[in-house]
Amino acid sequence: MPPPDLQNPLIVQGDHTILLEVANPRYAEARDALARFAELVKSPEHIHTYRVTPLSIWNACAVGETAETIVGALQRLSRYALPGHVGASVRDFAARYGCLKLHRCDGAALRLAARDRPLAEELAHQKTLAPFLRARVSPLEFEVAAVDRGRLKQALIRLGFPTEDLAGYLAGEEIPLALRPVARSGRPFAPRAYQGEAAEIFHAGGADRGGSGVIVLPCGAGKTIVGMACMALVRASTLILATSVTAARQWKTELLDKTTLTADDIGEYSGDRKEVRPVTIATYQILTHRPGKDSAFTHFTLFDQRNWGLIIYDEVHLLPAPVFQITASLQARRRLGLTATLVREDGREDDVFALIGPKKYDVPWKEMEHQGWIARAVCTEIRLPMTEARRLDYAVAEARHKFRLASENPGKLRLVRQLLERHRDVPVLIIGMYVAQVESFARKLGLPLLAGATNQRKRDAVYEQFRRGELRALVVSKIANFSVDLPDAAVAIQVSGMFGSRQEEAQRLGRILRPKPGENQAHFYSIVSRDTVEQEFALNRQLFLCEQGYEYRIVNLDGPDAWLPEPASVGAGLPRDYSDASRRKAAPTIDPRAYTR
Amino acid sequence: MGLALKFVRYDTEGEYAGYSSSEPSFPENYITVDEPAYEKFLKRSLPAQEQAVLALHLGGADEGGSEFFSRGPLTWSDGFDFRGCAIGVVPTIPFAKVRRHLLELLARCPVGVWLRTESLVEYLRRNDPWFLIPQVLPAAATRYGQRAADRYGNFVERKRGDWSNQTPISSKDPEGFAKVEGRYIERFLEGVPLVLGYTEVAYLQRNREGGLEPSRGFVSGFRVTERLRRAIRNEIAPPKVTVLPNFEVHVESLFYAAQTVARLRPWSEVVQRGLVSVFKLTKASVAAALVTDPVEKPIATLEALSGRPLPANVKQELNDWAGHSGKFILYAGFSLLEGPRESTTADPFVVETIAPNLAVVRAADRLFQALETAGQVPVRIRHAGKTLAAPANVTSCLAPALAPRRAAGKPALKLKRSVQTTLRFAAAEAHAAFAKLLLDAQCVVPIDRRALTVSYPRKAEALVKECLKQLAQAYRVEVEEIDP
Repeated sequence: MPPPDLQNPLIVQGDHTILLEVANPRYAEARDALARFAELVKSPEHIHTYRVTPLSIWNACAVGETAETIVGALQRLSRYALPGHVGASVRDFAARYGCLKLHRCDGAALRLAARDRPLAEELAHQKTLAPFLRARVSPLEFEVAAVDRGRLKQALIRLGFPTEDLAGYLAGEEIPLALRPVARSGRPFAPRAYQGEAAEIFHAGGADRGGSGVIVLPCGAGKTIVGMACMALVRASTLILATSVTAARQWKTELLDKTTLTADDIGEYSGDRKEVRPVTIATYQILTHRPGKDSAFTHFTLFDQRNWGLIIYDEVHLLPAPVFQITASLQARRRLGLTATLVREDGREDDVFALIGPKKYDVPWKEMEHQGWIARAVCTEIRLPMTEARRLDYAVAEARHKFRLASENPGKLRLVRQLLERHRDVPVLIIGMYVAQVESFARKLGLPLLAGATNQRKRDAVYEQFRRGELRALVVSKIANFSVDLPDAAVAIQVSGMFGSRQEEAQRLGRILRPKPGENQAHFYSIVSRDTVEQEFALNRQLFLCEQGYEYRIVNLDGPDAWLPEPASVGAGLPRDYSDASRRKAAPTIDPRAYTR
Repeated sequence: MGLALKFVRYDTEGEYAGYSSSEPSFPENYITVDEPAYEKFLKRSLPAQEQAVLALHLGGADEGGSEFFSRGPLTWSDGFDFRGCAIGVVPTIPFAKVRRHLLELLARCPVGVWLRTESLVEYLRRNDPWFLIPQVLPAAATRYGQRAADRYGNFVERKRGDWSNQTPISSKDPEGFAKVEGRYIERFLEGVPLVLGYTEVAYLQRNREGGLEPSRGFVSGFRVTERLRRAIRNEIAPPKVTVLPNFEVHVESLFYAAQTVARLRPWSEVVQRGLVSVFKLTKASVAAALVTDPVEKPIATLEALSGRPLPANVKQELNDWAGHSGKFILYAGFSLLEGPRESTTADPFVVETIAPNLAVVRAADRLFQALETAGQVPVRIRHAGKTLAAPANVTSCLAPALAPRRAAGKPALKLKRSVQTTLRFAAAEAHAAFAKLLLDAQCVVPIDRRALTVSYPRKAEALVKECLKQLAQAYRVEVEEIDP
């Protein structure tokens, strides 16, 4: 064991958290090592925090890491001696991976094999496993019905035993699918190196050890392309589960543009259409629809309507609970999860591990930002005081109305105009939570509005215009939070929002992270009313974004009529159009035609 | 430690009711904290603090409390039989010196490497056999008035549980060194250095059946930590403080950075303890701390501690939070002066005028005398800790009247009733106009702009009626009773 070196970048704490010093010369080496076996908890400037958990160790073991390589890496990179019990925990967690193997024997049944007799006895005496273990075929082996494959793995992981599933997959219906070297749009196309690598690792050359797992890439890193690359390797009929109709149609657009599939090969299974084709894209909403609270899920039959060779779960961290249930019975199909984060608000990360598969690929987003694959984002919170009259209204309002009163501060419109003027050369999204507010903004700014009531045809048309650059700004309600692929948005201005969920924040920010020409710089503004409950909520979001590693600036305006300060005082690194200050001396005006070509 | 370093003291008052009594003994036990002593300690540098703690541990135990006979807080091994230990060689052993000597020896071991305890014992036997008991016993080492004859005369071993057959350890025993000094080394390793985080120890599986007492070889291995090396070489670095944009303050220190922690603690909550202690700055803590100690400026202090500028968002928020600290003032130990102030007698005592006939005043006793002297016949009202009181002979007072005493009997059931009137508007414009009239009249009542209602209690009825009258100048107002 190497002696601790005070120049090393890691500090391993007794509670299994690991602190990584960013400014250390060995930062990149340590970050890459940790990515294999620890979960990134937060990554604010200066020090990043990771945690070693049973799941993180099992994920590492699934890609070939061993306890000794993990402990060795920790010892090699630690500033101080590794706490003895942390090393012991890592060895203990790792020892559990591979203790149980599920494999196929002759016929349809599967066999669960335990590494040793005590473990086999422990399993035999577990009540929660009794429904799944049909017969004991040898001192170390149990027969398992194929239909119980998923539920058994779920039950085992809850007991602390991950199962190495080597029972293989159904090949599925073969389809001729390949990636196009030149997209239909006429642009040359090839997956980026990391996208191809992720797909190869997932597929594992078709071996039983591959074929199921989760690929973690930050928003804007091209997870859809990774999915398509996996499809091209598997070359089998594929069911894609997406979060919304818009997301489903974007999948379709991308598949048509970048693969050899034709429109006849791709079906949409949503509220509007029920097409089942070799590649079918369904939404979580339609799958979880049922006529009554106690009725069966009507559309679960989709999973049996074709001999699927691959199921792709887009945004797997949002996978609804009923889809977990059905996934438990789909363990014979190859399964690919795509996500920007393994963190689930409901804490069901272990179900993702058991039913979709272990993490197969993960690139730190800072590294992707560094390489220019995603844009550098600066978050700016603008605090706008309310007028005296509104403050009085706010003061006497009931507590439950205060947030809305602050959110709908009419002064925000003036700042939005100013920001639109500053960023007049790039696409801008204006996001709000209250329909009345976004309607008013859209009307006064002369911009199109997309809200819940906007029908899908109009949404698609507006998105398309925005994508083509014919629209330079767009007002959207919170419908824009999930899976809306707006490739050219460089600036998001949030005028109201609850800042409640971590995923929601990440998704909103993800809308502007796609690489940008030039300085590759994105801006995320949020305008809040100063000294109100809205500012309190914004503090949560500030913490979240800082912990994600984003630069966070605060601009306090002096009065309700104050304009944003000159860019130099806001901070460095802003786009060049900031420097043109003369126009901002007077109240900026918006010509709606400037945003609608 | 707190007692030995004089940070606290304790005493007992009351009566000892006896060992077998069920009555509580010394019911007035108390502990007092000597803040100045602790403050003085905090002001010392981190190396000085550690040396003080180390010195305390090295010399704290007397002979009877040495590793041979008594167990430290983390000791698992058993001790030698202490009977007879007050005579012979043991009382002459300078344990503090021995401990420091051993620590200096350990500090030469490689950091973080597990070593066998028996190899350390063997090293000492060969190179430093008199480190504990000198070769020539001192004259003071006596037993029953005679010079002690055997260097190991204080030590016996026996089979576990067999109290009737004890075997004295002889200095002629070839294993004598391992049996006595070796056992001491084991217990030393899990004593002072383990408590101070200078060593970690590894044990053999505890299986003493048929073994010897005291145990031998139980502490089978040890490794020294960086803390030991630095403490002995007096190379204790100041804590490294990093302020992160998510309001966390990381304090990295091999040693407990008491001074830094004491400065950070009022502004923050502890998130994590360890080699790196993590504190989170919170708005409530910062605002509250600034009220208590307005001199300590968090931004300047944090920048001084971390040696670099704070993240911009943290600096901005701290400035904002600091602004919250002066918005409310809690007056403790002051009094209220109620009544019209017709002369200037009370003026020098007034701290804050709350209303024309109510003021916060200082030095109530002197004010009372001054008012009496001025012939103003003041009345003194002493309020209880939680409620305001009013004497019976005062007819007018801002404090609520005392509730009349009720005869004991059925349990009291107190109900509270309030009646609210709600005006429902049909048009948003009229509602907004009425709301403005109410606000202009400083009539603060619940106004619901979505439901277009205004609700008011009976006491606001007059003001509301007045506003309705004003509204009637622009509208033809009719009020329809909708409840039967």
